[in-house]
Amino acid sequence: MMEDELALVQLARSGDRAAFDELVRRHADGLYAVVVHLCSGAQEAEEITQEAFLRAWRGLPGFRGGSQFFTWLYRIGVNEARRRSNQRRRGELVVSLEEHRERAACDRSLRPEDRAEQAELRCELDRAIGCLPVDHRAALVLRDIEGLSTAQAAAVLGVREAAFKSRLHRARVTLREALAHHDPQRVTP
Amino acid sequence: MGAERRVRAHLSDCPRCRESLVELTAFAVLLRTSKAPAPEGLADRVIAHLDAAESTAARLSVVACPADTAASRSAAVAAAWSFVRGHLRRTLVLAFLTGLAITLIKDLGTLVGEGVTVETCAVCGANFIAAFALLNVGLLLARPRGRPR
Repeated sequence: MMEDELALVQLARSGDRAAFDELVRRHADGLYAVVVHLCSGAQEAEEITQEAFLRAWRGLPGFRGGSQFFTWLYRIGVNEARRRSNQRRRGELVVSLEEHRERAACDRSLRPEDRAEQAELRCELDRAIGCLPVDHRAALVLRDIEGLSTAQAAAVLGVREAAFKSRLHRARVTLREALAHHDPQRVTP
Repeated sequence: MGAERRVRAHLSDCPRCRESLVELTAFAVLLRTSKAPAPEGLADRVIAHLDAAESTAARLSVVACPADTAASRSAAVAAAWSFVRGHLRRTLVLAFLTGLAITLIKDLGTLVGEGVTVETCAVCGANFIAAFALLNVGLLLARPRGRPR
């Protein structure tokens, strides 16, 4: 898979659009999932995803392959989201309570009162994540939500692992404090 | 491995840490399940966006080549107009100040003695017009070579 991706990147660097399209198919959803937590909503996340791929395509000749393609791509996306976020007021609600209620309502395995509580907890979680400073939020999203390794997530943010761990720790502490009155064990995956 | 064994041993003896671990694990699960699903057809839209951007860039480059004549002509006109505007702005200010100085030195006595008549107004106005004309001629002659005409 890795060699396969390396070959695709090499082809794309030499101007092969079909190879780059394949890279888009592999990484578009992952990039979207990261940036949607760093911007004001689904529409902006899609714009950022498109913009990041366009910049990656144009900047690919300058990509030296010192890092994995996806960490380089995510970095472009995160930087764009960070730039837009700096222009905006912090803490805008990312996902509405209604949206969470709808999602929870679909889960028939839960009792109605648990569905309501789950929707509320997830909404509060999103609100708390949205209130984190964007650098802390990015660390939390990359490591704890997207499941990247510490080295990969630090590479995306362009910081040393020690600095990344410090951001992540502060983000986790802030989040746990924000959700202290909730019981996370009541939430079903 | 030794450290892990020590942690496990501690957990079996410490109910508080066991409870914290359960809480942290639940928190981690909660976060892991917060992954946002991407909208349907996202990759296709990204590819379409790339296609559109590429075709726009290609169109612009095609238009840019014959534009050597048309675009450079319009650029030259724009540059010339910008130079003229800047030049006029400078000379108007200088002409006003020079005209005012000449009027004060040369015609202040006439203005005070005879009052404001058509004749004195014409004389004073001529001070400003002459200053404006002379400054324009002077600045145009002193213009460095290579500036837009």
